[in-house]
Amino acid sequence: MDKELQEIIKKLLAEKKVDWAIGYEKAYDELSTRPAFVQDANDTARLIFNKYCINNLGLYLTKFKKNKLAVVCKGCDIATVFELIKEKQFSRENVVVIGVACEGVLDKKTGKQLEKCENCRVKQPKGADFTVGTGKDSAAPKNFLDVVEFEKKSSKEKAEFWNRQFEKCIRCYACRNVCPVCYCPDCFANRTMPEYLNKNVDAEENKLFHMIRMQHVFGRCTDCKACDTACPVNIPLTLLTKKLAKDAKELFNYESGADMDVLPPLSTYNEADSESDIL
Amino acid sequence: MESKVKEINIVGFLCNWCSYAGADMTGLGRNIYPSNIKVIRIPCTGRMDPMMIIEAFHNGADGVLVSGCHPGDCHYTEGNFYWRRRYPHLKSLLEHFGVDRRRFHASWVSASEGKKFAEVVKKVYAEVKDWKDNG
Repeated sequence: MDKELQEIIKKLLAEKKVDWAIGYEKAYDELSTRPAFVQDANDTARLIFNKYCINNLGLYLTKFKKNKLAVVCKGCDIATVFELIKEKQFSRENVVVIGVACEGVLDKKTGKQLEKCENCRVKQPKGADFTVGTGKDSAAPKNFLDVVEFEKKSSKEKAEFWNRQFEKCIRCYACRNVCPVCYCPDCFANRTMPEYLNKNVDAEENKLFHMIRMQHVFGRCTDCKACDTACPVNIPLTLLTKKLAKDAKELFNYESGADMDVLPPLSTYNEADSESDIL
Repeated sequence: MESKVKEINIVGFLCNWCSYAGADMTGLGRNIYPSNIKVIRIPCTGRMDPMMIIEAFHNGADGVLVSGCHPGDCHYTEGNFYWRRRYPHLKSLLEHFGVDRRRFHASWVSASEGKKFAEVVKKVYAEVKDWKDNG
């Protein structure tokens, strides 16, 4: 599989179809992989793909906008690429998507498969230019059981839960920096005029940061779990991103990255939208 | 000396073209409504940045009301249609973070609906008060 992947990228680079290829390479130990940026056709031998390739490489596409890129994507990462194209961050012609069949990725800290891989319906990548390997999709639809369970709590309990979680937050901004759709060059969290966010690290301010970030990525978040994996203090950000996915599905019947022709829910409107809750 | 009654603060974001004029009309018509609402004028509900609502709650508002033109009457043709999509999602997200449903409302009030504005504010006040008293 690695061989096939390397050959495709080698060919693309040799024929000058792309300037850069972004893939995975082995890092400091057996279980670690890191993003690899390859510019030379003779340098492709270091590219690999295995079950520890957890990063969403869609993240780097907005950082190399002026170049033609080839990017190695798991089925779920393709959703991110599509979402970014919809937002006109780059054009489809400038990116070559190399889909890799994936059997689910493991978190090397716990050795367990990520929760998102359980009911994965894109083990066989869809919409890629090249596909390597074949995967077997899950038949079960995505479930939101933990979100539904959480929603049953009273608002007081919810607030207490999040306050406890955000007391842990050290505001390292890893969740934002690793998020492929958080590409604003000037993030509200960094602005000082006006200062939306106090620079103090306390539970309330942390909560405010996460609330606003979640609002900003609504309908664009592909629930790739990059933020959850990156968090050094294990805040269950999945509970938030899944909520976003659930709301997009239930309120607007929208699934991020699924269909190239449907605009994100907040970028458009329908005159027949419901207004049951409006006074 | 129990003069410091915990007052309820409601922030009202009213659109310049309909609801703000509607609030004026309420006063002109001598309709009585709770004075707990602090009005902030915005150009259009389509400009209503959800960030400002989250900030309002963060800075201690008990309730937030966003009011604009009826759908189809927007001065900018389609601003309130965008707002109509943002509202249910934001309400749901805020609820997920523990901001009670009763604290955040939206309404349509046109420039001539002074009476309706008073009714809306009374309703919002009752809901926020219910939340504050009963938790």
